[in-house]
Amino acid sequence: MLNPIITQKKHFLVYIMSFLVIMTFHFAIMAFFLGFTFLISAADALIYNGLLFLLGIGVWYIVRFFTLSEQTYQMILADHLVTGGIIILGWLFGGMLLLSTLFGKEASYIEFLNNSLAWRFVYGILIYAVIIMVYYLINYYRNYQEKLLEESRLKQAVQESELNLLKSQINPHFLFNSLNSINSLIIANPDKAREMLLELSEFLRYTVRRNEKEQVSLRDEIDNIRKYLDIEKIRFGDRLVIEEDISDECLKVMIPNMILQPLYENAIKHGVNESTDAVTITTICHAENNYLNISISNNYSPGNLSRKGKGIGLENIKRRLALHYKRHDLFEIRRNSFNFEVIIKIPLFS
Amino acid sequence: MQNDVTGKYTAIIIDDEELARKVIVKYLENHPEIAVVEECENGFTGLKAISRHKPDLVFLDIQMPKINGFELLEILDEKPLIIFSTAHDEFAIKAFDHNAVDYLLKPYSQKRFDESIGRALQKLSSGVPIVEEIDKLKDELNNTSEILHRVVIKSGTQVEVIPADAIEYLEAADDYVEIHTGTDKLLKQQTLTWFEQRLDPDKFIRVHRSFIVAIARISKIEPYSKDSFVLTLKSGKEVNVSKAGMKSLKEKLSF
Repeated sequence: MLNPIITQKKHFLVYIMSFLVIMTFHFAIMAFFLGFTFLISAADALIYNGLLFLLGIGVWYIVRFFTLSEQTYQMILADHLVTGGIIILGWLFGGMLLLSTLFGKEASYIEFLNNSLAWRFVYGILIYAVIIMVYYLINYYRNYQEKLLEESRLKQAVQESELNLLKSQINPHFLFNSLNSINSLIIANPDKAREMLLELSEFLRYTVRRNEKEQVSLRDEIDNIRKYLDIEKIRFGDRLVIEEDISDECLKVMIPNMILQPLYENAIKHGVNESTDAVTITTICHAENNYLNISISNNYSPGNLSRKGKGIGLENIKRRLALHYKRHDLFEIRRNSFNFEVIIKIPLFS
Repeated sequence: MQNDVTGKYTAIIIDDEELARKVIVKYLENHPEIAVVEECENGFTGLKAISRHKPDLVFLDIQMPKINGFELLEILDEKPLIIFSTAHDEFAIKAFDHNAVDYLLKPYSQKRFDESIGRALQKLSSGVPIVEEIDKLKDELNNTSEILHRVVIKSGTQVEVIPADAIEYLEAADDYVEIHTGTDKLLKQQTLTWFEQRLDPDKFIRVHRSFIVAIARISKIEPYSKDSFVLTLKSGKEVNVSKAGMKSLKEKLSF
């Protein structure tokens, strides 16, 4: 992060103005109340406040350093007392050295300089403290704004995927075709019809309910996806093959809801719906190196002329992962002419 | 034309889901005057079956692999009576509301099915040629303006499906449009305006009375004469650009 005072014109202007006012007072007190010459008064005001002006800008990097690492308030305060003390002492003697070389012959001024060191120290600490507080306020305000923005982004992403859910998840095509299959089974195989009807009901219930929670266990998601695939399996018969390799310890991991379902819908839409050959949808979930790796893939016939989707579904999943985990490397697509694979990594918290 | 041997009307069912075909077979038990001569599970085999059997009646699903129900209709030479059987309500209803050809929305009842068959039988026995019906249907299909993602072409017995992304440019040639893919040239009986209205406007642009080009394949555009330009495609092919074409190029590519 860059220094907020020098990078913003308005801030910098206020900073300069404040120091000009301070310098003017400094000069006026010395020249009119203490009776020093204009030259000495101006030099004293300029050198001490000028140094402070420069230090004030540099102090930003100390503030940044002490906020970056996760420290308690007491520790930060102690840090600033030490660094602030050292800096102000340096400032005090640096200024004195400069002024006493410049005006070494003015005995009354040198005496004044030596006597006022304690006051100058207090004055320096005060200004230093004010500058630091301003920096922390700016920081706090920035973080606050960012947090608000992030929150609204997250909210928007969830809303969008909920909307997608309404639009695509209970996709009317899927629903009516399933009902048509049930209608057919009622004649040929009533037991199977009942089984499919119940599965469809459970799938719909889960889908309607899960808007309530932002996070769900992988077990719940996978259970529901199995229902969905069972239904599609009844519709498509041998044209759809389901394979899965999911280790048990993965199932309790919490994942953002609605994040996997669209991938299966895509596999059905672009794989099974557009292929006359059998399409295999494979799910692999394993935990390793503090990540849960979820891979969902499907093959498709090389000459597949499937309509290319707009990729909104995939983009949405990617964005939700990025917002949720604040990382951009959790989503990957691997595709070649006969296979489409999406890999999602969920960080496991130690 | 009633089947001479059995005295029955012939029908073909085209649907990629077996259970969906079974419903129709079951419902047809009420109608012994109709005999199912073949069940097909995709548009390709459906097309072949229609030209082989020349059925009176076709039950047609819309969403199917390879070529969908609409695309099948587009290239069909025979003129059977079509009954759509589909879950695709969104534009089916709109497009065929005024048409004599019926559509059944899945799932449907025996009663609804019987009504549809009753109407079809009436048409078949009235002797009024079905040709008009299917032409009307094709017209209505032509008037729907869904974005074209692929083009289906029938040349002889061969059916070709070209993804829109494979098209390099289109050139008008009398009653046909030449479709150039860079490796192939195919003909489709259609107008260039028909393509202009249906191809994705973000990907294709009409640059001339006789040319539509894929925006991604454009390499450069140069002035040719006072009022015209010439556009070079990445393949090296040069295409004329009219004044109006230049204007829309400028708008679309913002230069």
